[in-house]
Amino acid sequence: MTTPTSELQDFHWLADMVESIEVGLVVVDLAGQVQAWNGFMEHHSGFTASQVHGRSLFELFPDLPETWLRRKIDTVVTLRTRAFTSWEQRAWVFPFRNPRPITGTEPLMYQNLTISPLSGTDGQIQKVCLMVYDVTDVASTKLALQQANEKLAALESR
Amino acid sequence: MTHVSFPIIFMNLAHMYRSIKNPFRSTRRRGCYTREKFRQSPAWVGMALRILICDDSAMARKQMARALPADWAMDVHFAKHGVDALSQLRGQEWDLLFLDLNMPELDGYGVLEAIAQEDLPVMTVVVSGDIQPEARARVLKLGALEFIRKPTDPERIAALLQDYGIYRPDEDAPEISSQPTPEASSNEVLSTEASSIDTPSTETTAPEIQPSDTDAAGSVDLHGYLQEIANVAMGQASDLLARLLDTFIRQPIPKVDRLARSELYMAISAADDSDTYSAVCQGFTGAGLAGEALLLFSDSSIQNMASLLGYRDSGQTVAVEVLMDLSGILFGAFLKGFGTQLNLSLGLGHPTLLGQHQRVNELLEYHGQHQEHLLCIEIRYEIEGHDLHCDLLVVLTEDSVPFLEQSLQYLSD
Repeated sequence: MTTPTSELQDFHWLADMVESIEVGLVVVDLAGQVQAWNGFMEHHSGFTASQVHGRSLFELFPDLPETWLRRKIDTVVTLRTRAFTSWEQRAWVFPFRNPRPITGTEPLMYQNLTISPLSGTDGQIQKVCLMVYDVTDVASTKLALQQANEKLAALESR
Repeated sequence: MTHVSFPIIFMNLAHMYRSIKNPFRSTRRRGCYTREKFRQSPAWVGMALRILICDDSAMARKQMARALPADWAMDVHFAKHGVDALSQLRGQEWDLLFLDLNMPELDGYGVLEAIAQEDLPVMTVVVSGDIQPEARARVLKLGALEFIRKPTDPERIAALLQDYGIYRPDEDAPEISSQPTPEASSNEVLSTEASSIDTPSTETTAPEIQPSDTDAAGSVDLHGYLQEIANVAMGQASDLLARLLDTFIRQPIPKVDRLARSELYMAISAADDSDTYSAVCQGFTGAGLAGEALLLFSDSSIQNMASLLGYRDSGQTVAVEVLMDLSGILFGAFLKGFGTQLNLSLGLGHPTLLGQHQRVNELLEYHGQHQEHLLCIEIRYEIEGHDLHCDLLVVLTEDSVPFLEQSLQYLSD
């Protein structure tokens, strides 16, 4: 049976999961102000959720490709579809350090990004969610493979 | 919804049309039959309505026939494409034509043009998966009475027919005509009698009469089923693409093929051996169904698309940018439409760049040993006036077939 207490409990678990998932979750409103910021983002950026709440994402990270990101967000809002970006088009969106600072080969974390529309109770898109995936491992392996292939091709053509 | 102020009983519309045709000759808009003219006309008491359903998909013909009110006296025939429809329209008298847009041989636009040109007395309702506002505007301009979205919704059809005063639900319908004809005396007549000679259609030639069946629409196989589902899903994807590019997208016809995994590169029918391609893929999965969506661009097209999307500079990253932008939109909309029709929620993975500047056979090369037969839907988008095309491939795994067959079974029961 569902009691108010158990609903509250469920919500607590949900919040815990969102907080601890190994994916960066950011909710911004249409003006670009941060509404939610999960544990992954806290750890890698060094900003706590309370520090960033209500502040503009582009102020917090001056290096963010603002025109590019705004354009993607606009498409998501008008077409109501998700948008994806790959590390191949932009190695990183947020300047986070490589999660393996010792054994990793690249200085920064390679990222894939998904932007998803969030609708309010009236069905209008009022916010979007940015999901930041760490793909450093995949990217560095693929880059190493590419380099090896190029070397092979060069040897072959000699 | 508006109300008709005078009682209208079942009538032969084509007959009525001819009787009022002359007074309107001067103002008539190319053979089209407007609501106002209908209102002003005397009510004719007559036979069952003669209805022609024209669609290249057996499944869509079936859906359309089923969407018609069951308590309506009608005589339903079918045509497989535009040429078929026109030859039937020329040979006999018809009241109502339900017309698909996206067909081989002659498409719906062509049929509308011919109807107007030859002044064929029939009211046309366009039924299409193409939901671009421009498509609706084009067909209304060509003289269609109304535009209805696929998949066909029986309530919408009933409302439309009521709106035009040619159908009344049973409860408030006046008594059926004073001179009942054999057709009109039964509640629902779906005649499968042989249609006029010289029609390429094979399915209207069944001699037996099946009053409550829609078999005349043709049986639906898995290919036909997938093609029609893809057609409707594609309509939703094209609409977004059209809005993004701010242009009208001519709807292609989805092609369904069964291919061995090692032959996947053959799915791109128009691929030129010398062309190099770049591709993005995205996996999707649901209960009983799995597959991948692929978007392939020839390298020459990708530059044109980049400039159409407003990317100034050219080069490597812009190409990836274009692929990611378009695949996100097309895959998302297509798979959503696809899943909705199958009553299935599909989970989408993150799209992956499959490769750049490669030949199709290298791009889609398969290294495994397992011989699996894939179901492959190819949709080839051509954008007029911009010399660019791209291929949307939706490939389903072999173990998705039982699920699809089951849902097809459910549809035909």
